[in-house]
Amino acid sequence: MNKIWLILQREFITRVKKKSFLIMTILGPLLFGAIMIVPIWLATQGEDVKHVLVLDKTGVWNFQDYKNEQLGIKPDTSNNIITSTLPPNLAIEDAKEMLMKDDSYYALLYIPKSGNDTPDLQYSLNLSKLYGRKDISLGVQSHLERKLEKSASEMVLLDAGVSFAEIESSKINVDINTISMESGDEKASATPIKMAVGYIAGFAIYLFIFLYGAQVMRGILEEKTSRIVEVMISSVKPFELMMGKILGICSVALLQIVIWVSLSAVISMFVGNMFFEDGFSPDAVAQIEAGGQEVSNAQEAFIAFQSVDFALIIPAFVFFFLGGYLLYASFFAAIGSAADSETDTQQFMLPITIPLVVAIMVATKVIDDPEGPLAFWFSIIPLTSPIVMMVRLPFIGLTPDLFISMAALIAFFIFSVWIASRVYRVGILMYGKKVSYKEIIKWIRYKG
Amino acid sequence: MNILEARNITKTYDGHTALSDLSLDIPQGSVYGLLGPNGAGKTSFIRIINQITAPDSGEIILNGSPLQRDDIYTIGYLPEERGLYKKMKVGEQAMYLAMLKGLSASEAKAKLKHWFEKFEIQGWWNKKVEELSKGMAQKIQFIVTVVHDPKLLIFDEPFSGFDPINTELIKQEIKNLNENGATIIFSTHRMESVEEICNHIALINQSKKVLEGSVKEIKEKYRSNTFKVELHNTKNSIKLSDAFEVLENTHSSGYLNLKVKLKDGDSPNRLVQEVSPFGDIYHLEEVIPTVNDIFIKTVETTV
Repeated sequence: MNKIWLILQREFITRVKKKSFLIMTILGPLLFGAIMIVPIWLATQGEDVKHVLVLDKTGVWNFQDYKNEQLGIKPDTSNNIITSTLPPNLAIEDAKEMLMKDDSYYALLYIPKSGNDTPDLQYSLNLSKLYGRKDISLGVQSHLERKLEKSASEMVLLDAGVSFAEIESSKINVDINTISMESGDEKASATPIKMAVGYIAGFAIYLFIFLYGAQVMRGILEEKTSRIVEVMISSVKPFELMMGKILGICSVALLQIVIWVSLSAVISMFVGNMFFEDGFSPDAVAQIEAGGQEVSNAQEAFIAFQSVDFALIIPAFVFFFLGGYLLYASFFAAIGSAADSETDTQQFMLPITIPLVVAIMVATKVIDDPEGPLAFWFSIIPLTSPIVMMVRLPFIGLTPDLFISMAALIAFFIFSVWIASRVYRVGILMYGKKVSYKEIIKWIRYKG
Repeated sequence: MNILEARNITKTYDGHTALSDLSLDIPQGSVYGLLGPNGAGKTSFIRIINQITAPDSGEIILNGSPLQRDDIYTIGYLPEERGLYKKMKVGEQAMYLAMLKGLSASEAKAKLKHWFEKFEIQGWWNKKVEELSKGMAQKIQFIVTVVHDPKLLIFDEPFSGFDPINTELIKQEIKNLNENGATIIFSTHRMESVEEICNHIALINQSKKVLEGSVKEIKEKYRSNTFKVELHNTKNSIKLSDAFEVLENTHSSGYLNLKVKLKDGDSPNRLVQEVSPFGDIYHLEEVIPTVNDIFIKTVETTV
């Protein structure tokens, strides 16, 4: 144990002293901060306003005219789209020319008139066309479609003798407040926040496994190519050397995570204060929870954030990070020992990469259905559980699934370290040999 | 007394036999040459002594008891494949390796200081290993091999890659260590390189020991009673009695060079009497077989 400690110290100190560690440690939270700030900032900047010309031959559609703003008519600026209605008698060719001449116009909506005198809504709509200067964004297209649909049904109702006031009063806006009965008391449910927390945690584990697992592999390759390894194992057991390295790099990772989390917390507090000036005093939160008060989106998000069980998620994150890292790092160690150079490692990387990538892909499904069989099995299987369980955890909380998953991970981790150490002890002394999977199986079987 | 005894060591790798039933006795205080061509099994044997690998069967007795894990602290090993962490500083690295050999930080520092002063390389302490020349790195490797005062020192192909000056320096240091009580094992395929320093040798060929003993005894055993004689002012032809067999007879510018084998254990004095009528004896010496000759001879006879 003493030897492992010495090796761990060396691995830790040499890595923490590196400039790249310092840079990553500082840049990480800044990046995290940027990821938070940039979308908010962009949202406040507003999008490009798209100007759509409307050539309505029927003359029945009530598109507001952008130019009427001066006359006190509010233009339709929802979805950052403004419309200008052209005179109905304008020829379609002229309208197209207008669109192409002036690049401040984005598109031209053309609604033709039906052949007979009675206006046929369906006929007009079926033949209507949207011309764009370039490809038209789906957002603009669906916005216009929705608008036409809505107006069409209004017109049908008006025709049927329903009064305008009745139509207006039939427009009911519904925004259901979801309540979670979990843990007895009723709380505003926080699905989007839980999704975000779970996905971020799962993705962080994925990232750290690759980042630091690869470091284990590279460290072992370095020992092999610099030929220090035989000097080392005349003093320490191969297992001690391997575990010292894995744990040393693990402690570097933990240090980095701690720094990142605390710096990110500071930065996000700063960001929070910057954008939500009113702040969140406990009183205000209590008032909001008591209900009855108009709640802003930001405040809602903040309350939802509080409903996430961080006392469970943070320790679980540390556990699954450690378990997942140790499991994969032992595989990375075995690969590093079997190869002579980084290019040799490629053929063995695939079996490690696949379960991790699958886990990330499954994670997006798990978010939709955290209690489903897919979520259950992938959060129990140790190769994917560190990522998938973290995604599930904000939804399922402290349940037997968590303990089954943890136990499976520990058992598999012991197994993988055992396998890795068998490969490692032979591999590190093997030079200039192209290693195959068959060869590695043989190494595992060697005695002594 | 033997510091190390190997008893019936067998080691196979995947159908290939690296060592088969190898038994050796390495006397305390000896300089022991483990000789044999590449692939004979020398490194496999050394790795077993260093507990890097375990034998399939057989055992190693060190100082009278079977090899234990803690014995690595009494062994110093300079492997054939040797190197250092390139990015580390020389001093830190030496401290690290010394502490892995069981020294405390203060012990390690004191002993390293002693060695760095001895080699006059104190100024290297804070250099990075990658800044060192190959010869400089070799000195560091030697120091970290011996820093923990091992009772048994094992050098695997020690002089491969050493320049002549370093080779002499290291040879001298190894001699000093031997005089101070350390037992030395040299493993090499370049037999001539250790002939002068070894007092015991074992020859290994194709995983088997073919010969073992003190260099003196072996040479005694393999002497063939052959002498080289050089005569001056000779007559052109020379005829010796049946007790002598002339193996070589070359003539050049008034000198006659003979290689003569004495039959029936005759003494060299008889040879002197026999050849003196033919000219003035200018030079006479016994042809002593080199270890290389002995090796080739043994391998030929055992095959």
